[in-house]
Amino acid sequence: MTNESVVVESSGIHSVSVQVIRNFTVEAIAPFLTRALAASGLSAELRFGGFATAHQEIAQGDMPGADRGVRITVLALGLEEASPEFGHVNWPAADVCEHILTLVRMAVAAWNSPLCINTVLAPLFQPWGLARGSEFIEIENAIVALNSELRTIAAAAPGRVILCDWEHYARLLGEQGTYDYRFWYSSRAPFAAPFLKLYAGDIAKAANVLSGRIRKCLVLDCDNTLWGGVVGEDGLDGIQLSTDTVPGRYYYEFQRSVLDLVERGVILALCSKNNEADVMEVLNNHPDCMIRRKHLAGWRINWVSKSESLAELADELKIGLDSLVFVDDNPAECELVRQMLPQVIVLQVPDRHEQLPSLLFRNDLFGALAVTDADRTRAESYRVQRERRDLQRTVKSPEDYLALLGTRVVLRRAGEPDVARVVQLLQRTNQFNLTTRRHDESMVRELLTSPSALLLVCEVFDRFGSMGLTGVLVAFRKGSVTEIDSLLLSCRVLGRDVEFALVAAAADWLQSEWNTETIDAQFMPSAKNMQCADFWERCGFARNGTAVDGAIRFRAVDVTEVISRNNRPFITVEVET
Amino acid sequence: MTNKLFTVIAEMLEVPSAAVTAQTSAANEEHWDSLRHMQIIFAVEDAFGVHFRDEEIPLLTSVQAISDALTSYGVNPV
Repeated sequence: MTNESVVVESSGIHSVSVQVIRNFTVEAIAPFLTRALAASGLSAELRFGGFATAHQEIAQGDMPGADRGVRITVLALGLEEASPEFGHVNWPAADVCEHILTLVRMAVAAWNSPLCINTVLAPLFQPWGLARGSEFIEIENAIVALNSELRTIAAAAPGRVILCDWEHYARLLGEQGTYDYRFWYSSRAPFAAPFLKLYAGDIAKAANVLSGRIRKCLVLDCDNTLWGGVVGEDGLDGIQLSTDTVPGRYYYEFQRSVLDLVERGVILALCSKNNEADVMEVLNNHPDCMIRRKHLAGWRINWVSKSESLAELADELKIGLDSLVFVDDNPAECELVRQMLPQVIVLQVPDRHEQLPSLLFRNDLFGALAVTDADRTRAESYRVQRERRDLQRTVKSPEDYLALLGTRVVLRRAGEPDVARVVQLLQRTNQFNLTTRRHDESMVRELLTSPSALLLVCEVFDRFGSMGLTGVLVAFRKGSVTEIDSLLLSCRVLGRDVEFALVAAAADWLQSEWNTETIDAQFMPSAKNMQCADFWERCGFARNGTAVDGAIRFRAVDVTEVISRNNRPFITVEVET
Repeated sequence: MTNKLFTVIAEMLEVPSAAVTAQTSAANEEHWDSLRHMQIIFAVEDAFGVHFRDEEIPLLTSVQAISDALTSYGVNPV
C-alpha cells in the first residue's frame, strides 16, 4: 500500500548520514534503510559502530559534522546480547534493564542531534511453561518498566529523541515477521526482514521530517471514499455512512481517522467530481458525517479533471504539490493523478472496505516528530484564511483589501516556549525561505543563549484574528555588521507585505540594540523559493558576490534607509521586549 | 544472467553494477565480508521473494552460487 516509487524533489538536502550505535548485529537493516530513504530522494551514508563499544561511543557524544545535511544517530540496544543468560533461568532481567536505561540516558544527555532510541523485546521463549512464578513476574515487570521509561524519555524530548517502538513492530508482525533465527546463532543478528523494514521505515520517516520533506495536506474524494455510494444518485438518505452498521461504519471510522489527523495539524481539502450543493448538504446535514465544512481548508467540487483541481488547491493553499496526499476509490482517477502529478502521493481506497478505517494510520505519511499548538489550530486558521479570500473578492483594489485587513505584526526575541514552533517552521517552510537552512532544535537553543546571535519571531494578526507565530529571523552580529542567516515566513501570511514590514522592524531593532551599521543577507536558491530571488534587492540591498556554499550575498550600508523603505503604512508593527 | 541480481549485489557491496560479474565472490571482492554477506542475503531474498535455507547460506558466497540457488527455487535471477 505504501507508495515506494514516489520520488520527491524538495529542499536542497539530499543526503542523510546515519550513525548506528548498537549492542548486537543490525547490519541487515542496510538494504531496507537505503531503499526507504531513496524512496523520498535521500541518499544514505550508513556507519555502524563496534560490537562491544556502544558504551564508549555514547560517552564520546555526537561529533558535529561540517556538512549541512541531516544527521541521525540510531541507538539500537536489545536485551539479547546484554547478558549471556538471556532467556534462561538465571537471567538477571532487572540488572540488564537498568544497564540499557543507563546507556540510553547517557546518550540522551550527551546528544544534541536527533537520536533514535527503541523499546526492547522480552525473550519470546522462556523456560517456565505454565509454572509462571515470581521469576517470570520479575522479568516481565522489569521489561514493562523499562519500555515505559524509554517511551517517557522520547516523549520528553520531541523532535530530538525519536522512539522506534520495537514492541509495536513485534505486536504487528508476530514471531515470523520479527525473528530470523538463521542469523541469530551464526551472527547474533536477531531480526527478520519485515521487522527491519518497519524499523528502517521509522528512521527514514524521521530523516524526511528533519530534511523538510513533509506531507502537509490530505485531499479526499467524496463518493465511495468519505461515504459509500454516490450522493448525486443515492441522495442524502441513501449514502452509506453510519455509526453502527456496515458498510456505512467503515466510512464513519475513516472520517474519524481523518479528523484525528486534522487535530494533529494536517490540512484537509476535498476534490470530487460532484455537484457542490450535494456534497455540502452531506457535510452540513448528515447526522453521521463527522467531517464538516469548518474542517476544510479548501475544496474543488466540480467536473474538472482531478489533476487540474489538485494543482489549483495546492496553489490556493500556497503549498507544494509534493505536500499533498490524495485518496480516491477510482483506480483510473488514481492512475491519472499519478501520471499527471507524480509529486502527489496517491492512496487508493482498499477493495476490502474493512481496511479503509486504518488506511491513513497504516501509511502514516504525515509523520511529524512533535505536535505544536499551531498544529492543533491549523484547521481553524485555514478556515479563516478562506474567509479572507472571500473578503479579497469583494473589495475593489489590492490596496483597499490590505487596508481593510488591518494587519498587525508583533515582533519579539524568541524564548524557550517558542523552540518547538521555530524548529517546525524551519523544517516546514519552503516558499518564502531565503536560505532554507534547516537548523535543528539544538542549534535553535544555541541561538537563544549566544550573545552574538539573534532569533526574532513574529506573530501576525488581522481583523479575523491571529495567524500565530509565522515568521522567523536569525541573525549573527560581527561588530557593526549583522549577517541575516535565515528569514522565513509561513505561506499563510504572504501576499500582504508582512515580509517588508518585518525587515523594517528587524533593521530598526538591529540599529537601536546592536548599533548595526551594515546588514548582510543571503539568498540560497532552492527548487521552491525562486519567488524571493529578488527580495533583498526589493528591500534596498545591493548584490555583494557569492558565498562558498552558493548563496548569493547582499548588503545594505544604510540601515535607516532600509527601515524607511520597507515600512508599510497599512501594517502596524509592535516590538515586545 | 545479468542486471537485477548484479544490481542488488552491487548496491550491497557499494560498487558500480558494472563491477559485478558471475565470478564476483567473497574470495575476490574485498568488501564481501561476513556482514556484507548477511546484507546481500537479506537484499536478495527481499528482491526475489525467496527464503534461503540456513545450511545453504554459508555456501552462497559468489554471484554464480546465488544465481544457481535462485534458479533452483524457480526464480529467474535476471
